[in-house]
Amino acid sequence: MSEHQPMGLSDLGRFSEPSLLVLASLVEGPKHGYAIMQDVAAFHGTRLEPGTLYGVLARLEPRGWIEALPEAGRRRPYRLTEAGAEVLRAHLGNLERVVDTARARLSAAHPGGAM
Amino acid sequence: MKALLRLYPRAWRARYGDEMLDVLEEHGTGWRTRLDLLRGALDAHLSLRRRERPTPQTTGGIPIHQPNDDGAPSQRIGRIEITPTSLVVHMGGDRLLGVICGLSGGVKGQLTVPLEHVTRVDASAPEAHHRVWKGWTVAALNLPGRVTVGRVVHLFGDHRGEWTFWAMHDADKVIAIHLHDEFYTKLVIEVDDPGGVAAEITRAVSSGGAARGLNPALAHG
Repeated sequence: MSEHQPMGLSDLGRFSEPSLLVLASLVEGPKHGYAIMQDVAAFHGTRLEPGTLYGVLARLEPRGWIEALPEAGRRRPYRLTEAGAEVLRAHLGNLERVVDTARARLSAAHPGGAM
Repeated sequence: MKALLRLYPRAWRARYGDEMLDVLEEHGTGWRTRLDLLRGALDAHLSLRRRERPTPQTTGGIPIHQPNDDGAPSQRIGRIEITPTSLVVHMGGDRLLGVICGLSGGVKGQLTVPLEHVTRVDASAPEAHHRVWKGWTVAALNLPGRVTVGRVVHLFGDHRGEWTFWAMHDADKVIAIHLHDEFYTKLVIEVDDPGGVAAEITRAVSSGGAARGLNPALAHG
């Protein structure tokens, strides 16, 4: 990646995909750790483990993509920031291009398949 | 569960410990979770180290020089950088990159020492005048009278088993940085102004030590 390009989710290495899931979960509204895990399991079927989840939160927060809200007991909710929404939007745009291209090529190569 | 969290760095636990404990109580700790926490703890340690490491620069800091061929200007082979929390020795001269393989066993050509690990800084090192080192030189370039750069493990005497790092040519222009809880117990480095540099590092360590309540030897020195 050129140093002039803004940083995106793809730059987070093995944390890219779980970061996408966490950001997608927080679009709905602020959530604490366990609520994020439950939501991700519900909409994606992925069981996010706590070590991975907090590895993600520790990457997203310093980048200003999410923001920690005041603690409620031991639980601390996180919310998506504007910068985080922008990063998510850009990443989804990339994914859409991949999906569109793959669909078009698949249709051309295997026209009889159900899409 | 708390035992698993103890694998994480202290700073990490201070920030996320309570939250993670809450999550673990809800989530449970099966083998997959334990494995994930082990991986997470390792990642947290590496991330903290990366964050504490200053961005490498090619300029600035206190220069470390190597004399060149007769009459030619000396060549800069590295620099010492003092950050608010650490002392960083960068070695990066063209001639040396292939010689020094990992100053700290970590990043090639760069050694980062937290300021609180600096015990003392001397504006001279009498042992630099010794013609024969009391140790075994590892990964070094040693041309007597020209340049000496490398790491030494001491085989004899009071300092047996200790590692020291050397980057010098003129034994009269070196500083000796004494360390504790580090791979190296001492760094002997040639600088243009040994007295000034030793004082500058000592000041940084003292002010850092005073702020953190650490390193009483220097804070009261």
